[in-house]
Amino acid sequence: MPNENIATWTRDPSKRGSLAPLRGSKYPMVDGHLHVVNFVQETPGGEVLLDTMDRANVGKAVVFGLPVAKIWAEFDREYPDYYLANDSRCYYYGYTDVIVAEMVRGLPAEQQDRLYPLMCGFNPTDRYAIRDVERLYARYPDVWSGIGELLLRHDDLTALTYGDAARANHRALWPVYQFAADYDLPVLLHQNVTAVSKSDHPVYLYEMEEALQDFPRTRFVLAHCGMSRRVNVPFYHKMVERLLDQYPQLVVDYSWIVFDVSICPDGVPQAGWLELTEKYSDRICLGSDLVTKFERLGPELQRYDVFLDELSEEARENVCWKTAERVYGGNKGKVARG
Amino acid sequence: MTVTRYPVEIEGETALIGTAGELVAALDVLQGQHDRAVLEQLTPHLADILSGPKGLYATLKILEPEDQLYLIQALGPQLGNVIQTASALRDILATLAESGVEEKLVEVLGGSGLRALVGTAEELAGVLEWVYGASDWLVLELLGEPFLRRILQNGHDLSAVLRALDPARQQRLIEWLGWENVVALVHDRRDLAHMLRALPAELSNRLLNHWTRDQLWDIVRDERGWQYLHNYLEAEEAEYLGKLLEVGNA
Repeated sequence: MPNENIATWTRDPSKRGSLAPLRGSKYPMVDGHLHVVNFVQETPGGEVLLDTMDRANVGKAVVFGLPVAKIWAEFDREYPDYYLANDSRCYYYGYTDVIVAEMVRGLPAEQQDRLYPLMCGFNPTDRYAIRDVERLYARYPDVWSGIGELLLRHDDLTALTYGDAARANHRALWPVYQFAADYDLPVLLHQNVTAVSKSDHPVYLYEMEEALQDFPRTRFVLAHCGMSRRVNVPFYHKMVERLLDQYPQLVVDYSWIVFDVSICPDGVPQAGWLELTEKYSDRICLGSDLVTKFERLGPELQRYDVFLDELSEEARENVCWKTAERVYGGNKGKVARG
Repeated sequence: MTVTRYPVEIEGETALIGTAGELVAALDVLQGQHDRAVLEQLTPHLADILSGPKGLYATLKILEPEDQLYLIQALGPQLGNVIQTASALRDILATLAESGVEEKLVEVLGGSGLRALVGTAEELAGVLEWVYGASDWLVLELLGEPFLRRILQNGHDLSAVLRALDPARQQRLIEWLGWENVVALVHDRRDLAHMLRALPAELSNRLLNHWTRDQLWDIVRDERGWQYLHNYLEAEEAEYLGKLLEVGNA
């Protein structure tokens, strides 16, 4: 997602300008976190995506829509194109999965293999959620590689979305987590560790941990390590390390602002994060977290190079490719096979 | 849809640019150090690359004013086709922070470009809402009096346009259209209410002086009409209109 804290979305005249970042990272990569549908449920399409992946040195991508749609409100003269574009609300939008599934199915088979699509288009506060997941699996059995990105605690989006506040420990999600455990599917969650107004301690982390404790066989992926806009807490990497220590089924992705705010502020890799990444590289994926805007794929992923350069080859290969391949690969058709 | 991409080369590095998103991404990774050079290399293809108002808006947003001027000039007669609608023109003008850039945008669109975009008084008012001073008048002049007369169907229409102008230009527009023609646009009390609301007391009073008491009552119709009008008026205007209608305050 675009953000004022991400280096590639702001200009810095003190840096040397170059077109090279458009070609992406020097390391081949699986983008482990890419929205191919935006907040008004539009997509540039699969061909554009793959063309851009080729030009940005991205071999594969974990792709999904957005479970909420932004309303173009009756009172808005200008149409919104992002959840923060104006004050209008968001609502759960199931059709996002159909857009993704049809986009993927419209591609040649060998190109479909480059995408790991996740489903997310259900209301995570509705106990009928599991029915919707099962329906989508029945409708597109050969498409899905898992579930996500579920938007749970999410800075301003929580307040802008109609209905109950979505959270990782909402009981409506329990059957979904069980379904994922039954079929060994990953569940990618956006669950902020705290509220935007509480940066001194992680007030919502316990919600995530309840799910982790109750579903030890469900592979959870914590998007951008639980960080979000204006969401931060002290000793962030220590907290992530503790979670990875304590919950063997947990995977995290480095995407969006956690990289620029905590892992590599001002382009300087932080020692604590480097150590953590070496230790747990087989449980860490990299992602762009772009919301469409595929043309940004190259710069978005190239900015990780300064951090990747500092890793051992094994750790680098894991976070760039192998972890995502292990977590998301090989899952298509699992549910139909039973 | 196949995208045609055009090469740019900066300090030995090349990239292919086919969409506004790609252009903005390229300008961003160049950290703003080569904006003009990129625009110059792409000049013949800029309209194709920007393709619509969203692309123009996204590009203008990241450029310095001197490069905004270059881009607008480079688009030339294709600018109107890129902007496409009056609401897009309004929104782009709303985001421009330099009056010189606004003026250039209006100038490059010219009379025919503006007339192709603006179809109603409401749309014109939306455009005028976001240009200031001399640019207001430039828009009106470029549109031309015959066009204005065609889209200004009633007093409500004219009031929407007048609200976007300062008092001096309000008077200038009324005189340009002709007081008699302006009077003829006031068909009912709604038209009158909005006209009086849009004008300062001095011009309101001049407008009211064009009607006799009976003609004014034909517009106001009845006591309820007077109360309706009264809600729209400043105290001074209400007093003056009440005097002309020979009624007390509502």
